[in-house]
Order: sequence, then C-alpha cells, then structure tokens
Amino acid sequence: MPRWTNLIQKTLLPFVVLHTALLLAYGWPGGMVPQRIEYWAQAYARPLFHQQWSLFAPEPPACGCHIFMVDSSGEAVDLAGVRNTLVWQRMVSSACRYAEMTGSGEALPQALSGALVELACHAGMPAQCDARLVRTCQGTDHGVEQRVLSLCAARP
Amino acid sequence: MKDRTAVVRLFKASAGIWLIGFLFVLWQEGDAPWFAYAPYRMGSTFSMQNALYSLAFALPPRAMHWACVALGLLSTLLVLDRLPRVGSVLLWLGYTLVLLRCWLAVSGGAQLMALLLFWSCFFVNDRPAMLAYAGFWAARLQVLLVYALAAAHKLCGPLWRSGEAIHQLALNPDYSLAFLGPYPGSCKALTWGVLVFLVLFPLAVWWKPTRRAWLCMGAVFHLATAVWLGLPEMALAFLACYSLWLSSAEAENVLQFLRAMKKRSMQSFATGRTS
Repeated sequence: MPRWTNLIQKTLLPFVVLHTALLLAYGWPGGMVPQRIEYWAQAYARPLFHQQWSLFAPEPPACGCHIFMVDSSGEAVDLAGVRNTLVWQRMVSSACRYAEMTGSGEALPQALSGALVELACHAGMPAQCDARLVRTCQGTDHGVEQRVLSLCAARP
Repeated sequence: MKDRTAVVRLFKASAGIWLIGFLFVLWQEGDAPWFAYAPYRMGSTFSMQNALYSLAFALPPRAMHWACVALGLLSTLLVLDRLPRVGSVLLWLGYTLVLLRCWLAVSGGAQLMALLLFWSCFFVNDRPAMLAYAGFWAARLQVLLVYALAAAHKLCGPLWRSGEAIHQLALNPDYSLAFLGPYPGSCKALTWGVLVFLVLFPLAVWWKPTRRAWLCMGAVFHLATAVWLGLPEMALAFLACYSLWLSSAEAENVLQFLRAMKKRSMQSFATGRTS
C-alpha cells in the first residue's frame, strides 16, 4: 500500500469526527458553547462550511414584514410586489427579516442598505434613500407598525 | 463494507438535478442576486474567509452568469455519473463562491447542498475505498447534524415548547397557513409533532422500520413547508439528501422507477413526434 494512502486512512476518521464536532459547536444555539471552542468552530466553519439551522427558531416571526421604497414624490412601492419569482421573493423577505432584527434607532448594516438600494435599482426605481419597513401583526400585537429606513446614511 | 453504488448513484442524480434547477433559477434572475457588498466586513489580515469573499465579490455580475452556466454543466456530468473528482471539487468550490455572492437569496437547502457537495468530492469515485467510505458516512452524519441542530434551536424557544409556534406562523400574513388559524388545538399537536420528528430523526434512521417511517414523515414535512411556507428549494434539497439514508435495495428500486419513467416519457415523446 502506498505511504500516502496509509496516511489518509489514519487521518480520515479523526478528521471526520473533529469536523462534525466543530460544525456542531458552530451551529449550536448561542451562549451554550464554551467561548474558546466557539472561536475555533467559527474560524473553521464560517468560510466554507457555514450553516444556520435556526429557521423559525427560537420563535417564529409574529408579523408579516414588507419593505416599501419611497420615491421623490413620496409614493411607496412594495419591493415584494415588483417581481413574483422565487429568488426575488426570497431576497426581499430575507432583507426584511434582517432589517427587522436591527433596532429601530440603529442604522442598517452597510451591506444590507447597499443590497436594498441595488434591489430597488433592479426593480427599475430611481436611486432613492428612503424606505419604510412595515410590520403587519394579527396576533396579540394586532396592528401595523412602520419604521423609516435611511439607506443612504449607511451606504458603503 | 456494504455496496453503496446504487445509493451514491441516486444521490448524484438527485443532487445534480437539484443543482441544475437552482442554478437556472439564479441565472434567469439576471443581475439582481449578485450584490456588490459582502455581508461580513472583510479585514485587512489574510484569512480564508477574506480570501474567499475577495474572490467572490471581485467578479462582475456577468461572470456570475457564466459561473452558473459552467456549474450547470458540471452538475449535468454529476447526474450522468461522469464527473471526475477534480470536477467535483470545482463544483463544490464554485457553488460555494456563488452562494457567498448571492447571500440574500440563500436558504438552508442551498447551504445543505454545499455541505454535501464537499463530502461528495470524497465519494464521487470508489477509489480509494477508504476515502469514499469516510466521505459517504460524513455526508450521512451531516444530514443528522442538521436535524439535531434544528431541534436544539427550536427547543430553546418558549413558543415551540408550549406548542404555540405553528399557531403564530398561521397568524403571520406572509405565510399561507391562515387556514390553521381557527384551530389552535391542531396547531399545538402539529408543533409538538414537528419537535418529536426533529428530535428523534438522528436516532430513528438507524433502524429499518423507524428509518422508513421517519423518511416518509420527513418527505411530507418538507413538502408541506414547500407548499405553505414558500420553501420549495429547501424541501427538494432535503429530499435529494434523503437518498443517502436509503438502503441499496431501496435506492435501486427508485433508480429503476426513474429509468422506467424516462423510458416511458421518451417513448411518448417519440410517438408524439411521429403522429
């Protein structure tokens, strides 16, 4: 048997076990993994093995989420209504959920505000800086909540 | 070591078909999915993450279109069982770069496929046997890891534990579960049913009777998420990955069924053309 084949055989099992353990530590709910292990798990997993399995967890979203782009005349257009394709709906919905996670007084992360401006451009809207996040709730928090998103302030 | 030829063949076919579909959907969206800004801030120091992001975000959208075409061709070779190991490494790396670039369009299904493509580089060929064996088992473990992590996250949520989670989703106008709104009792049963399914999945697949039952329940669960929660690509990715947990005989049966379907459709196509 060639020496390299022998070496592969000896290192494979530890590699698979270590890989799985690091991915488990990477994906486990926050705060439950020791900090040092979490650091190594992130360093190992994030570049090539990123995964996130917290869909609808710890709580499913309580409210519908829509982003309206506001043009210079003050007219608001729902980004989700621009194209009815799977990818477009997924991008707009993810952007809305990320924006929802940002505190109401905080600026949006640069990448997100940049992505929203790009989406608006692809939707054929003129370059604009104002958007509105609208949350429609039907449960115990029944009602509609609106928040102004300033895209140009945080634009990269 | 058991003969895994049919299982691996079925996985390659189903994963390849899923990839072709996903890449086509991305490709036909034009320049929209290819954002100019990375979701993570890239530091000045050299790291694997910085290098990958720099590469993914240096390419113009037009190059991403061509990357989708090239990866679609590699996926076709995967379906036809003609993809060499070098090709499978290129497919995994290229697909990972595509996912980094279209970060807002990525779902769990796309992530799962990237993770399994990595292990498929090991078992895409039978030789060396030990490498293929380890890759195959690591891919199987990855599927279990997904369910274990999803269960852990949901068990941390008070609404999941109290059984209210699906009722909350039913009240959310973004999803098509409004028909469950008037039935909180059924929602509670469904919520706990989903939790039991997720928690027990990593254990149930080790015994034949429970494995079949859990894979069938999983198929129903994921198809339901496709229809009512708008996650079709995630559902199909999971179904493609279930092929890894089939026995050789089951995988052979599915392959024979698919071959018969293909033959029948080719015959009906030929008859349609002549008439």
